[in-house]
Amino acid sequence: MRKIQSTISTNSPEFRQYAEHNRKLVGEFRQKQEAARHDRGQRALDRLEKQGKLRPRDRIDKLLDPGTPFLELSSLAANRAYDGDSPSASSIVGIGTVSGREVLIRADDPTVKGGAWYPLSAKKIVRALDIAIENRLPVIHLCDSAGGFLQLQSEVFPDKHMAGRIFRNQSILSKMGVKQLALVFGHCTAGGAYIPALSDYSVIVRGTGAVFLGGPPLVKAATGEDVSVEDLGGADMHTSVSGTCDYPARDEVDAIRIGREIVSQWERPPKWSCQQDTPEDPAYDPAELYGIIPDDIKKHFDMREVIARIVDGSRFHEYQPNYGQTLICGYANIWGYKVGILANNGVLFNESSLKGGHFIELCNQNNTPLVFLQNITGYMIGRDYERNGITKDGAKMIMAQSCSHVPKFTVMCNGSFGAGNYGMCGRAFDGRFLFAWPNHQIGVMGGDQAANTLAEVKANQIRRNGGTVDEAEIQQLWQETRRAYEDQLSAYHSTSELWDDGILDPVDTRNALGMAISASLNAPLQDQGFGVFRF
Amino acid sequence: MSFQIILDGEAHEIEIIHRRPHLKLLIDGREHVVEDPGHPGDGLAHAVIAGQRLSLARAQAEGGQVVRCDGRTHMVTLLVEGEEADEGAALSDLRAPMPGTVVSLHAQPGQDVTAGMALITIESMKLQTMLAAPRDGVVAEICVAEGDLFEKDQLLVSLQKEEGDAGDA
Repeated sequence: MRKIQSTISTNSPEFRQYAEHNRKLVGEFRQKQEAARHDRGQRALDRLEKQGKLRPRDRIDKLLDPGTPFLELSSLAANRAYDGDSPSASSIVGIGTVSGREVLIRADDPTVKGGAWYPLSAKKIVRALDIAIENRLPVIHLCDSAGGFLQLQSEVFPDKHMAGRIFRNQSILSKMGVKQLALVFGHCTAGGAYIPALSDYSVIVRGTGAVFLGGPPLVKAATGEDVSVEDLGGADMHTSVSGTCDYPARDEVDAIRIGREIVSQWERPPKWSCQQDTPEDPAYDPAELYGIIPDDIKKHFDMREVIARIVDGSRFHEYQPNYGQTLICGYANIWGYKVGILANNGVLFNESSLKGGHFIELCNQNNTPLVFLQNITGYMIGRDYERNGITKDGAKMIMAQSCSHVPKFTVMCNGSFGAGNYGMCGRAFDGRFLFAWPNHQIGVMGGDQAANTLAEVKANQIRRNGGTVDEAEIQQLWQETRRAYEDQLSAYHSTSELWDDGILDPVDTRNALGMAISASLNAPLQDQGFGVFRF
Repeated sequence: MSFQIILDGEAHEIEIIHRRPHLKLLIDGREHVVEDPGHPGDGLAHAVIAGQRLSLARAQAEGGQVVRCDGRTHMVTLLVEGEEADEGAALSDLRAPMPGTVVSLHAQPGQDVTAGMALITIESMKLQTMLAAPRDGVVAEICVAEGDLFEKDQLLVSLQKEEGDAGDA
């Protein structure tokens, strides 16, 4: 493999201008992330302290092996929903190491509305357990939730991928032999009560932990029975009478100690062994990414410069360097793991689509995980391209990508527009992990195009109804449509809705991918095979 | 500039990263520094590679060069002298890679340009792309203006023909 020779000049005015722009974007992202993690009302914090409870992030810190990293997922979920009332969708999810085992940790956040699940909390927890299923990662639940947020129950409860799916996923995990541990720190009410009940192991804290289908007020209302929390679903009752929980704990620290001991008993199933080399830092400083990503979504940049700042030794074996050049394909190592990279370097043409499809097949044949670096405005459109079969060539790429049996990872490096999102392993295509950079924009078309189309449609409506539209009105219509649309294109909207597994500072991309690839190797490869390619 | 050589039957790829302050090579993807390459040609020579002094003797032979170093004899054949040949063949015409519009022009007729210099920025499919000079030369004609629409393969910029260029490049 050859080292990529960067052509970037870090002294150029362009580099400095981009760097300043992107550092500002990353600064804003860090600020939002800090706020979502730590800004809480004093009353909620005081109450927690009075109950002798730790804050949820302190629980996680104490649970993790000291000095090991924690890859937090979707830290800005729900940042644009519920007037910001549900930071991180009231649920913390991430991958870390506990007693030497790679695990997925999922924690309720009692500092927000008693840890109640908003609709996006349910979506986030379901996604977390999907990750556990796809990658066979053991799960540790840190339970402290009042149950579903009643005011929005219709969006939390009934549908296939809502709260019920949490318990379905828990059952499937257990059937697959993937371990689950529940540490019950607070109340597990209603549906939430099934989390410890469906976990293979559970620990419950005496005094504050409780598990019941209906809390004391509901029991009183339903049957008239008067019963205390401890009596109804406390630690001693469940560990000595009902058998719903396994171990009583003195306090939270004791529960974490018991939990770590339980995890240390678990077998370590062998990982699937993909090709590996000795890890090596990139030869170019990843911080230079700030000066490479342009300050305008429409400006082009060479994705090789990005690859050079993510992969080991900046070394890259480029496949078909002279064919279909708008899609860069090739092999590299990330933290030692051999991967096949597909990176957009322009619009997808017939040749680039065919090359992409072919390269994906090569990686499948060679059992090489795939990394997609998206910056795509779509497949080329127009008469000549349709006559040359751009649609069926794009379909080949989508077919190869969808049916891949190797793990797939996607990073949204800039734009993700139209069908290009599909070919390049967008959210719908079961990639193991999907991360986005703060400058990312996603939509069925770009802001200008959408504004043109929508403004035209509205103007025609007015004309059909006998009205007249003057130029100024059309301008105003265009501006309004564009602003509303642009808002939806933003990475913050995308991550709020959990269309990704979180926003990354570009500099952290290499480490995040390293941890994600390592986690993915816990699951054996699926069966190989593709559908029918249209030739 | 890159080469491929066959050393005792095995192929190796060598790329020159830079020549000054001292020669830096990329051999099969790994960097090596040559402080002193020694004098070229047949006979005894001394070189300094990665801080180590090396004595060698070489002689041109049929099908390559025989090199004796450290008490062993090696056969070296130069296979391909890469990229330079490619660059020589670069075209004089800059044509549109796809239909689109002209965003801005960065050069004027008569201007000296070097390979890789920005000549024109186009926009197509929501993406702006900078098109660069394919080789060193002088701009002969700019065939479009800012805001113009163009078709695929339409001539955008042409460079003055150089001596030895084929009639229609």
